[in-house]
Amino acid sequence: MSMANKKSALLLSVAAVVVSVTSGWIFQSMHEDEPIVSGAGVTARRMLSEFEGNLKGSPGDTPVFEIGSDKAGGTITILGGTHPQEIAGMMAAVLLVENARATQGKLVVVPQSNRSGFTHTDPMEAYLHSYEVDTPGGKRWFRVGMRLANPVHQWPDPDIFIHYPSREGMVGHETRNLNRNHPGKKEGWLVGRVSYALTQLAKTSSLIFDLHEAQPEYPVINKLVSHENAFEVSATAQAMLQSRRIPMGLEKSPKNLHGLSHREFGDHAKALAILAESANPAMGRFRGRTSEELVVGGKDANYVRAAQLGRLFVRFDEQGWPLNVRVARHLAAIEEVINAYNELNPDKPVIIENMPKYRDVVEKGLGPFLKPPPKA
Amino acid sequence: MLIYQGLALLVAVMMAVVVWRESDWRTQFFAALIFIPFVLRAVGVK
Repeated sequence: MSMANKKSALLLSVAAVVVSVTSGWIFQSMHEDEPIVSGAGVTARRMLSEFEGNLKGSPGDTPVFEIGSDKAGGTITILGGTHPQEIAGMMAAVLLVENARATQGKLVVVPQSNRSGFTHTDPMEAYLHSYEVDTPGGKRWFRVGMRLANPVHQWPDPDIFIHYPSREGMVGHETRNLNRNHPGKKEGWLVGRVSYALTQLAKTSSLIFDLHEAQPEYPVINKLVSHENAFEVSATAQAMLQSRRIPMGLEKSPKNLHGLSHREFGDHAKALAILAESANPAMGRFRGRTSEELVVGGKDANYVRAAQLGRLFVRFDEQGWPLNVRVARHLAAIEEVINAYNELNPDKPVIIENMPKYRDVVEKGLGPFLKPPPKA
Repeated sequence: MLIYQGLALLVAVMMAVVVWRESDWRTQFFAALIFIPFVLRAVGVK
């Protein structure tokens, strides 16, 4: 090797190490916990591993916030972040944690159900790592994440994922999808164990409500999906939302579509199981640049055009679907599901106060309902 | 996880060896490009 080639080898080695260290630092920062502040109504902050010990210390362990009361009643569990890039679900859960109070029964909130999925983004999709929300006390930041768990935490994917216990076959990467793993498995791969722990949590719940989002070209959008055991509650809630001019559809959970929360929590945990979907244009294939304007503002010219061509399952105009509107829809759905549950279960109600109201969140945005950023 | 990191580290080391053994700077450059993601995977960040 000549002297010149030794020099180029040295130069390239140094450049490669510099790029690796810089990218490594950026990727490593994705593992930093985003701050979620307990509001005055939070009576306990536990970890999911308290429901299934073998999750302790794993990247799937996640905070569980209890908003309890002194008066006996039912327990309603809200799951956000099952699919982390469906950010309205996680944000609606955070607003509950930071604002809601219980006067009877208990509200349990898991804002980051698939915590591993918050530590990375979808490869080749140029997603934001995080976004900011202005609050009266300063800026708060939240992650975007990805629907699947991080492959660093669970690898490799099988060619075909065999769901347990149904033995339904799915594409291999669904082994990292929390909402295809329910009811989960006590031993084995990480996401299966997270699901198993959530199923144990669901067993302690009267009703469990899983918050999601989907692309505007997906047919199950702005809808509730309900296990047959929760149909009275979900149909009553849907009627009330419609009467408030908040359009909401209702789908029955298919009996042979396995691994999803609205099917398996009803079958295996005997909790009333419902899932909600709102419209997130940042997830769709028609979208333009995945900027903060798209992720938070929900605006995209391509989707306006797609709506004009009749290709979408929701209306889409220049106003788009901003994050605060999607969060407001989830909060309104939670409010009406709780009201319907209380009407149908007067012996064990769950009375929740100080939930941010639909109209207020639509008009004022998310900031006024978020606590100031915690001091480092 | 350890097997995954071990394999990624092995590939990263192989690419570093190629950079130092090759005499053409273009081959060195391509080897250095491949080296980067495997280093990241070896340290468990991506």
